[in-house]
Amino acid sequence: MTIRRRRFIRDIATLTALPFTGIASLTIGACAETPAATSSEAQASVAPGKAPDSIVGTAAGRGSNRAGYRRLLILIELKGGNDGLNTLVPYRDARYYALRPKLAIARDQVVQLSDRAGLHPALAPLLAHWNRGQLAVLQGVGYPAPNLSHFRSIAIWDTASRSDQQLSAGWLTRTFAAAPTPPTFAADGFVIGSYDLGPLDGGARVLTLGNAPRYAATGVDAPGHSVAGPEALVHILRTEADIARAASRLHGTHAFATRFPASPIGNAVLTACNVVAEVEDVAVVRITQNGFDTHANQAATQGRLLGELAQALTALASGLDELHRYDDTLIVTYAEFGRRPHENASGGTDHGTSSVHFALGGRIAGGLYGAPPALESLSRDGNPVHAIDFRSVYATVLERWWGVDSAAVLGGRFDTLPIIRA
Amino acid sequence: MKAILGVRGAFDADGAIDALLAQPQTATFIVTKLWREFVSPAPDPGEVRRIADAFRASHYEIKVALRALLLSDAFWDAKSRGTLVKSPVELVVGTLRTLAIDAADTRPIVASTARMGEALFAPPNVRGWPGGDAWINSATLVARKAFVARATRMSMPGNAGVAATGGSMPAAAGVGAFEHLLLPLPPVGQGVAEAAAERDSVAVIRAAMLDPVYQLK
Repeated sequence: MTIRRRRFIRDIATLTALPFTGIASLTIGACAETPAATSSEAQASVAPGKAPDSIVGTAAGRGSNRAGYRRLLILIELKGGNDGLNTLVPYRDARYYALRPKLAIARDQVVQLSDRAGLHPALAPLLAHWNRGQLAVLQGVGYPAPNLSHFRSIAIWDTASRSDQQLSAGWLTRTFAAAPTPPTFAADGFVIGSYDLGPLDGGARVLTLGNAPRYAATGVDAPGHSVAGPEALVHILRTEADIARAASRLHGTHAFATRFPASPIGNAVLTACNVVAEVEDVAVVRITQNGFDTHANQAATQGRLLGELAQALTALASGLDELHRYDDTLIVTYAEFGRRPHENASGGTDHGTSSVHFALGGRIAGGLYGAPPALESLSRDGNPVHAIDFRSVYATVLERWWGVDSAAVLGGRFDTLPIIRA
Repeated sequence: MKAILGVRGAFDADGAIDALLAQPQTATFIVTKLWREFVSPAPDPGEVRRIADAFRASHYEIKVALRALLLSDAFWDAKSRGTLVKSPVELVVGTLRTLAIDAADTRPIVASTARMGEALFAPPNVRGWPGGDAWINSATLVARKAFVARATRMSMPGNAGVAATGGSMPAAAGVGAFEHLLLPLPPVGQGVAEAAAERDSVAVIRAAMLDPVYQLK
């Protein structure tokens, strides 16, 4: 006896077990000849706490995004709040070493990017991206009146709200409501490795996958029911249809020469590359890397996580380059907050405010943006004032990457960052 | 000295709770949450106020609030049926009890609820699980259907339930009896009707539990 309404969707859980015969070296050939980025600090002209009214560098063609969503955005959430000060180390600042008697990274350990800033040694794989001019380092990304609660602060980041404002829909959901993706797209976005839809919460067409996607035999099919019923039922039927549509295209069997690391985020970027290879038409992929809430024994944990991140980013760039998609991909990291400059008594750091983030991609104008944390003028609660409003990063994505008007989505005009090459 | 809702004092934990309970809004807040859990996603402000008043007058006896809620017309109204999504624990425990599955090892079941987004005693953050429609996304729905499919396939150790009810369906019972017991709303798929046409009660149960409306309460 069979249950006919059930269609068995191919189990693609085996994709993580694919044999990799590929090379370990990077093949980002198209841009390999690009001269190395200058290590002088290309400070973006973004004033901290400035009113978001001035229009700076908005993209041409605002409001029309005809080709825009063919450009892929990959967001990587460093969940828990990564410690920015040990990610990009101000290795010549004596105050840094005073604030971090146990956790400070010695000057001769950092991967120098400029005459005063260097990466955590575990991030050494990013140096190749930096030397190709394809790594933008965004210093001091935060927002005014910061909130130190994980869930409140990530809600602020996810919804692009002011710190005193409650919004329900994610900033990308609002974007796709105002400027929809083409109907041919399988979804607005894929969420990998998190049940929390984050910036895609509140109505975007989202497909969620584990780090290694599993569409096992489930009874989820493409029923095509159109039922007038409770909103919850409509939501379930819409989700079933989305799963079926994506699963019909996503098999996870693309053969990559790139070797993907066997970490959770390594699996996640492999899944992302499979989505790009097989589904193609999707505007956003959001990946979550867990574990950055390092209140105790930070050194080992953060070192491991940053190492896994750097290797995964390198594999991601390589995999996308194989697909000839790296030049139209923008990868951006984010988190709810950074951590306090003062280390705590447990060999860790507590919830802080602004932090450093990375943007990578074939069209990135590499360099240091924003400003290093002013450790000599910390706020009363011991945190640095932000240098780049996180909504400036979003405005950059909307205006300069997709050509979508950002003012309505972000509730105001925020300066964009010159991190995208024409 | 701390200030909580305008009241200043050297609060300990109990004192802080007293300050919160002094606010009428606290009763409204809790009753609204109970309503969204047990009745529907759209609380009726007048009814919430009535139940909240009784709740507060009882010095916050949860039993009083729940009793008033579960005896309200809204709870029994047909319009409230099938308007809420079962939580993973409700889905899993409800399915196991319905099928009389006695799981000797509960660890795989706990792992199942985690895949559905409800890792026991490990909420995503201090706010807890958002619940409601947020239980359903393309990853959790796959996990939910996979669990129900496994449970109804009798591949679970200890599942004698489906087999025990099996055999040919008594003609008098009809499909309606199963539907009424298993589903809050009429099924939207064709599976139940197809199985019923074959007079196969095991197939009817399985089809009903795999129907999208089984995800609702």
